[in-house]
Amino acid sequence: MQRRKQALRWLIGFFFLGLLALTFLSNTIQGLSLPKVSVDKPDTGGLDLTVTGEGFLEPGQTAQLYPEGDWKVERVLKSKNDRVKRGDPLVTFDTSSTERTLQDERTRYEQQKLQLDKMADQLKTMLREGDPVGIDNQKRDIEMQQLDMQVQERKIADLQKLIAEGGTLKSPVDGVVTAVNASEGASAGRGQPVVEVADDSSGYQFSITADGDDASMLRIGDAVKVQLDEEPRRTVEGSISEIEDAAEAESGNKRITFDVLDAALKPGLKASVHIVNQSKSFGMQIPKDVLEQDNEGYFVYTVSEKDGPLGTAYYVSKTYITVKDENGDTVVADGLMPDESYVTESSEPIGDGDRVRY
Amino acid sequence: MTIAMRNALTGIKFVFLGLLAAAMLFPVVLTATNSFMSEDEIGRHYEALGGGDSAEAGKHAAIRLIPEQVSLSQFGEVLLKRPKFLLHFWNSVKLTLPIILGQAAVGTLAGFAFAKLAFPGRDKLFFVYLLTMLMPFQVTLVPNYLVADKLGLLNHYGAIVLPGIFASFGVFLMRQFMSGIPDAYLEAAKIDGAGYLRAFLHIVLPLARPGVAALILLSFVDNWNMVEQPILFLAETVRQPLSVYLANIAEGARGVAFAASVLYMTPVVFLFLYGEEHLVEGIQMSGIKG
Repeated sequence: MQRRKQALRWLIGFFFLGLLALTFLSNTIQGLSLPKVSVDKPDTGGLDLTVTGEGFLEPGQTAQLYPEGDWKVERVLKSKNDRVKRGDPLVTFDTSSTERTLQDERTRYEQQKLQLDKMADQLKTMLREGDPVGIDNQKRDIEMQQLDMQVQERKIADLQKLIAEGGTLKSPVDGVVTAVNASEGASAGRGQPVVEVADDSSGYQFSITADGDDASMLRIGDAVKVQLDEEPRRTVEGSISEIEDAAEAESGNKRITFDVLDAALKPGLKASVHIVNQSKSFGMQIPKDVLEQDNEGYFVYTVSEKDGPLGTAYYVSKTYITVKDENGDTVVADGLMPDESYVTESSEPIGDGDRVRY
Repeated sequence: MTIAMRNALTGIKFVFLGLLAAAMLFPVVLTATNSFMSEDEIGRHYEALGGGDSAEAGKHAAIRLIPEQVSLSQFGEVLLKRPKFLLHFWNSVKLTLPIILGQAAVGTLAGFAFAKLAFPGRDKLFFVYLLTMLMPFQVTLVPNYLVADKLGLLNHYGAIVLPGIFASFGVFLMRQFMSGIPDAYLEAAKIDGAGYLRAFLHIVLPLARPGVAALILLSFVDNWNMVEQPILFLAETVRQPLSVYLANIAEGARGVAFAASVLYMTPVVFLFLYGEEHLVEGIQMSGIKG
């Protein structure tokens, strides 16, 4: 009898202790079978719209320099990418052919002068003989001869000027030589520019391609900071000069062109921009990859706690949101409280009303 | 009466009582054995009892005592996957334990007074006290509710525990038991200089041990199984004891009901087996017989 009581005492003890242990472990046991979720709280604010890109500087305007005559190139003084100042000689030409023409013209002028002298002598003779008709004719001939000589003088002056100025091709602007189409000894064709000089005063441009959503806050004329890939690196002021659809239009990308006005720039210099804008819309920032969609629109799973009988239990529920704005990876939305946690990840697929742990 | 006749009569009695005992025990055995069946098996056997369409006329539940495959899944389900079961189990403990302890304290003290102290109107007072015991719960239900409401005890365990502690049955049982203790013991104690408290603690209480044990057992069974009071006084389901919860656990998962029932019975059975001899002794000596 006593042994039986002893055994029963143990059994009763075990029974209650067992249930006590199970109660203690109940949340843990329950938790093991629940999907585990990671959560995050949304940031409040507008959307960061970031435009980043790099491009190569191109001159805004290029001066194309043509030779003045059909000359052979004598010397090429500057080569591509050389920085030049206004008036710097670029190319000299062998102007001997033009000089020969000039001598010919001078000779012709001398001849015309001799001719004029001769006509003056004839006029003197006529005045002495008193031939009124002949005198008038002779006067007119002399006048014509004088006019011819004036033409000839101008021709010579032109040629002299041509030789003096055209013999050396000078840079009309401050800038950088972008192209040289001349070889020493070869004749430079009239049809094509011998030298091209990028005009500093016209500025430089470069273009980048950016996501259309990200670029939505950019306006033409906005000032931007442009980093130049130089040693040492430096930053110059620039501005947006053009925003247009990118070549692959269906992507929604935009091609943005920037003007950079600064001395000492070179074509082909790598320039980069990093522009951060805040979108106008204000709301909860939610990463795009946690958004889900059904017939009623976009939603996220939010976690709510309920005080259950054995401690706090967590449940997920669908919370529908209104997307106000978006960029590449984030949306700004309404419909969520700032302190509401949304599910970023779950170990198993979850549904509305599911109990979870985290 | 010959010996043969007497033997035959004993045999008949034995068979009759055996059958009766079997009939009484059958539900318990059925519950115990079915608790080891899997959810599936239970579902198949008790299809006919399920609510709604499957309950066809003339179709009976298939009663099976031997599981096709012994499975502990029901117990696992109840103990591991349904923490509510545990919650309600402890609710029951929280309700029952204070009532038992309180009843034992109140019952012994009041029983001592009614049995051993001579004061004017004692028997009349006891009679009035007994009246409340004679009335079924349903009669006192409305006054009880109103009092609990006045005291602000609704939806509080106090609404059940306090009436439970002062239930007249405990006083009655202890009074009957203590009446059996000879007055001479008390007189002897008095002569030796013991006051009432000493006499109660050192003479009456040890002598009344079987009675107290019986009271505890009966009170435990009574309160462990109560259903009406919690339903009436406790609005929140999370506060309900196991006895109430058991009625709902079968919803949607019939299988676990058996295991839950077995677990529900276990403390009662254990305590009964533990205090069996006291129970019999206690009730016998209190003079409440048959």
